[in-house]
Amino acid sequence: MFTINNVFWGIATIGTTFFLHIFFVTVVLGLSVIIPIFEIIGYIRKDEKFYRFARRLTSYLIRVDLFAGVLATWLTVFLASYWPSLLYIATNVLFYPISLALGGIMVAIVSMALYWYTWDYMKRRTHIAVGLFMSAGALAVAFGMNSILAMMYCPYGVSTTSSMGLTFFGSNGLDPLNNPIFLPLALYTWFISISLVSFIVLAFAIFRSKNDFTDEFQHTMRTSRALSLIFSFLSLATIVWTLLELRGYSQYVYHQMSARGFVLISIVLAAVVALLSIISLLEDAARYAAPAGAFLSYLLFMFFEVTSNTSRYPYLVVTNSTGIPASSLVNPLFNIPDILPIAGLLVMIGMLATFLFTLYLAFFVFPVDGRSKTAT
Amino acid sequence: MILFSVLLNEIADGYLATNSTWNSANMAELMTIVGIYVHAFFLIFAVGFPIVALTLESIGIARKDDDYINLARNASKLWGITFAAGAVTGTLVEFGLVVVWSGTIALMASMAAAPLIIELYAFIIEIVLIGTYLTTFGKIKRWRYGHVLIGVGVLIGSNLSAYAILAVNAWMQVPWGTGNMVSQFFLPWVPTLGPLVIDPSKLKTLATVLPIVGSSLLSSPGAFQLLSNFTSNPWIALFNPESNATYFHNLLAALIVTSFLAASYLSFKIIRGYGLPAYNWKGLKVSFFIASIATFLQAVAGDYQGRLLYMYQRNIFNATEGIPPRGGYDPIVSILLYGNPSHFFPGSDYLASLLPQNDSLGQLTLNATNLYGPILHLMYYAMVVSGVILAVIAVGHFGLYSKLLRKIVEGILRIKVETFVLYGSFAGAILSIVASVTGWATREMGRHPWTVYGLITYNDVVNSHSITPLFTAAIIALEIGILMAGLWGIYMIFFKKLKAKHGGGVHYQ
Repeated sequence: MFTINNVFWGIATIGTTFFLHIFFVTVVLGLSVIIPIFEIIGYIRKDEKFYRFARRLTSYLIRVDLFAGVLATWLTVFLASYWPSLLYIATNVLFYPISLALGGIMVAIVSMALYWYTWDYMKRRTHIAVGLFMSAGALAVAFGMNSILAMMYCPYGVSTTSSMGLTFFGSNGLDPLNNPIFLPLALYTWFISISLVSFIVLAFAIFRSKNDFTDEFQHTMRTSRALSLIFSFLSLATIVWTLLELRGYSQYVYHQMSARGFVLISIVLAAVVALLSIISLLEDAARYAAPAGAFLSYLLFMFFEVTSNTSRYPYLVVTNSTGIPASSLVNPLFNIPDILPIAGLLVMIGMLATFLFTLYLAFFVFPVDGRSKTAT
Repeated sequence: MILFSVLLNEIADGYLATNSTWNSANMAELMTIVGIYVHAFFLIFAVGFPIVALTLESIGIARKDDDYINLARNASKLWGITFAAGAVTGTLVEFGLVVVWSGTIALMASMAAAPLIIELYAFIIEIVLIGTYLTTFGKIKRWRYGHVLIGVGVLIGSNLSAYAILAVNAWMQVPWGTGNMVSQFFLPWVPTLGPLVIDPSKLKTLATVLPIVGSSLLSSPGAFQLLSNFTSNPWIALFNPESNATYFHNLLAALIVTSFLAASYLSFKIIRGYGLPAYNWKGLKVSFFIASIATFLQAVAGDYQGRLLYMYQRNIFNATEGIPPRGGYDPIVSILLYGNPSHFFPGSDYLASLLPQNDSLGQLTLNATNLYGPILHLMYYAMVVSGVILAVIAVGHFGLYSKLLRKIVEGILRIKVETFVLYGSFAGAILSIVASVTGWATREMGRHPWTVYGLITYNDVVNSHSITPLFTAAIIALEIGILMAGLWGIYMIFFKKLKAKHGGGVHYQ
């Protein structure tokens, strides 16, 4: 049957792209928030070291963001090609939150480019304002896009009308924003992203401080510690909140997760990350606790995303203890030739390797610090 | 922005409104027009400008001349910043398409699926390799052409991406693979559009149901299932003759605009005395030469595009050429098409006579063509005349290399050829932008009221949510903000430091 092919490739392409996308985009979100914090502290304390550190982190942010952005485009086109009804229902029902995310994308990327290219060209306060736009834009993207996942866990605020024996899905205005899973899920995404990036930045500073003659890394560690402490505890609180809402409003997903022990593992991981943020406060233990915190918070983030999203299977949209099967929403118009997703997989592997190699060149072989940005 | 939204409200109430759906479609169209033009401004650099940058770099390597390498390095900075802005605005356009024109998801799930999926792969190749290209500029010492090869990889990626996107746009103009369905449904003057690879009954269902339920059709998985096995050849859009014409026409346009812009920047530096004249002249000669060659080729590509317009979209051809409703003569076009100046071109009255009774969409098409006819004619000829002047400038520029042409140019204009080239580059930049903007406007405006010519209208695909003037104003403000930010970034890198760096400069004599 042709639909089996489209269902298989639809799940494979969306799954691969989605998990790769969030793997990179979480770093973008976290960095977009914490970089302006470093700059603001530098401004308040009139401390050049914070500026330098923020600038260094921005150069990393720019590179990761471009790749993460491409994967967002992949997601949209694969959704339109394999799951057109789902995409249509999402854009229609969630018109406002997705529009917010769309605005967030525009604001975030433009302000990110300005933030990078205008370093030293703008008054510091104006530059900080651009940075805050970058943060707000990144947070808005994550906020708006989580409404799609929340809808797939629990189609709250979706109206249904019947005509000619067919069911049409529509919107109840702003009701989808009251989806009980939406807010905790969006907040959790924010907090875990900031937490894991804080840990990464702390571990990076500890690693680089061995040969640091300017105290840049030593100086900024306290801020990274404070951020990881605050946001890892917030992550713990919001993941528990999200799981409680899943138990109430998306029972199928919750049962699938709890039956396999995923709920317990998620909470334990979040608790360990929070504990590591406390241990990182200790000067000697931080060199082990920070990398461990970075690794485990990344693991927690990916583990929760993978397990909660795959727990919907075989449904694409869960309605409490049952759902709409993937095969009902798959593209029925034609059998998308297998060569297209297979070629995509090969291109993805090749380009991912090239991208990582370029990052290696940029960070370790030809560091960015000394490059001129103006024309000769 | 509030004022702007009030203005849009006024426009919507006063000029555009017939009912609420029209309002939404028109509002959506406004923001789409601005968004696509902003995107186009940046993407032309991704499509055409790499040819300039890579040519400069290759000459530098071949002649072991660091001036060319430095020119290429500067060009690569512009390439990088415009690429980033193009990627942002491309994402915006794509999301806008899905969110605002959500009915087009059906197109993306059918005839546009293969080109758009291929475009994804081209896009990732382009974005990854441009990062590698910029990171390794000047770092590869052993085999320096290796760096050029990475750039060629970016060029291939960007052009494959452009081809795939333009193939979708071309399919919206000429829905290849629909056989004679378009002429049977609504537009009887349209010839057979390739082999029939779409199930006629499914296409008829789609064309009949969409005007009634609009894009909401997609909100019912069951209704969508009624269209199963819609097409037997998902690749057909890539083999549309209109795709090739559109691609070459746009590639050359991008090359002409960006080469002239690069030439005018270098002319500006020479006139204001920023930097060594010899250095700037090297870049100016290369970019002007590329622009000139592309201008000559564009005459061929434009002619081919025009022939396709005549063949497949006769009502738009009539409007652009200014053929009156009763028909008339156009000697130049007649010679180009038929080899004699006296061919009679039937006008819209003849096309209307072909319409079957109750073909309201066919009539609406001719009404739109007649309504927009004068402006289409004006814009089309703005493009053609700009192109002719560009060709004259391109010929004159060869006075740099030919004594005869130098004499002619200097004899007619009473200025040195060098001065002609310096100021000609500004004229070239402006005229090429005028030609591009009016060319695209003619193409898109001419298709009214159709999203897919002869099959699906704007109203059929706009989101069922009301697109309010405030929402439109907000999006347009963001789009213009992106354009401003990109231009400001270019200014910061390429203009702001010039005076300080070169000590105020010496004016060109």
